Amino acid sequence: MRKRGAALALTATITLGACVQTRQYADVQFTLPQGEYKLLVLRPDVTVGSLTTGGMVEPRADWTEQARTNILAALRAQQAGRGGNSTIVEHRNHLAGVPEQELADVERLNFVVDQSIVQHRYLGDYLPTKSGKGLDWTLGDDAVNLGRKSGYDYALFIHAEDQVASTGRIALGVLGLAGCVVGFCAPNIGGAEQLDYASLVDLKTGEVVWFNVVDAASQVPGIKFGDLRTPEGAAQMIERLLGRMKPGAAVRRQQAAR
Amino acid sequence: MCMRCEFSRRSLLTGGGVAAAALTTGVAGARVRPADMVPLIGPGFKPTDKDEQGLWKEMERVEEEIAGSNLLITDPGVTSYLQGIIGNVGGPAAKDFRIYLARIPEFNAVMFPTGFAIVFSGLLLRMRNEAQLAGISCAAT
Repeated sequence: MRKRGAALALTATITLGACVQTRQYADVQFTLPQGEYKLLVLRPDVTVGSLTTGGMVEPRADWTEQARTNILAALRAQQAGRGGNSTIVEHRNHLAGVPEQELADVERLNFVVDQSIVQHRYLGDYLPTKSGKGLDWTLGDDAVNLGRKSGYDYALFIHAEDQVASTGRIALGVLGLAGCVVGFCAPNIGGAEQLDYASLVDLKTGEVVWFNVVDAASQVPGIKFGDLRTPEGAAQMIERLLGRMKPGAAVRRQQAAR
Repeated sequence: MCMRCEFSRRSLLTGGGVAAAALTTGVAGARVRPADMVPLIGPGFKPTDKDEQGLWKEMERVEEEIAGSNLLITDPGVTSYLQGIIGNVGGPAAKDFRIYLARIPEFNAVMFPTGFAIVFSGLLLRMRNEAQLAGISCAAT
């Protein structure tokens, strides 16, 4: 009896150990865009793959396509509920006044800048030169030029990667947990993970003013915290990512002092 | 030594030696020339397996970035020359390859599963003759 209780407790710990984590970073002087601002939402960078039994992620074309459609729909719904005037650019040649390759250059630059923000602010390779500075990254003149040519005030970039555990992976996970009942707990192999991030760039200064990371990882294959292939999952992701935007540290301090 | 055995050790060894010699000198020498190779897929091939489709999708994104890169050398003469060499060594299917010549000083050439190739300009700098370039193209294709 005691053994079964222990197994149950362990199962519960592992299941609850899985979590959805959100980390927001902002420029110290960042204030939430208000009034009649014009927002440019760039093509979301989406990949959905299958998490194989061995732990490799195999990209899936159909799931990625499904997820992208859902994310765009969710984005439209979310932006419609906000004050600003926003446009979602689905293809690089759909932005009037900006040549396709110029937009591509900004997207590529943003891709590496976003990656280094995730690396140095979220994943733990903290840089001593950037500590206490809020969010200290910029896209420079390229972004300023984009703003001047297109007439937008802000650009929003979205990145989403999601995994779906394969049947083999789920079976292996269940087998490992089932072992606990007979007293032999196999090492937990871990479940699927969803990592999303968004960055808001001020097109007047070129600076990345706000950044948010959502990490929804599960410890048990088969249990998932939001599936981008479904409209609900995509809406949930957009809400987690963009729903609660907070102002920068200096602005918050001022507000608190008042 | 077993006297009643039909094969003695000596006869076995001799037989084995003869067989090995026949293998190295005989039929194994036939070779397939690139021009005689039959492509396993035709033009306009689209993958049907889920994993291959996923890979193709990623490669299409890669090609989108490469095709628009400002590192490309877009000289139709050089590109079609490279296309000719790759077509010669890679057989008929390789003639449909999209070739991107990139201004990158490193020695390298890369082929992608969806049928496009990137040749670094550093490769051309280090080649002394066409045969060397064809050799590298062979290895890459």
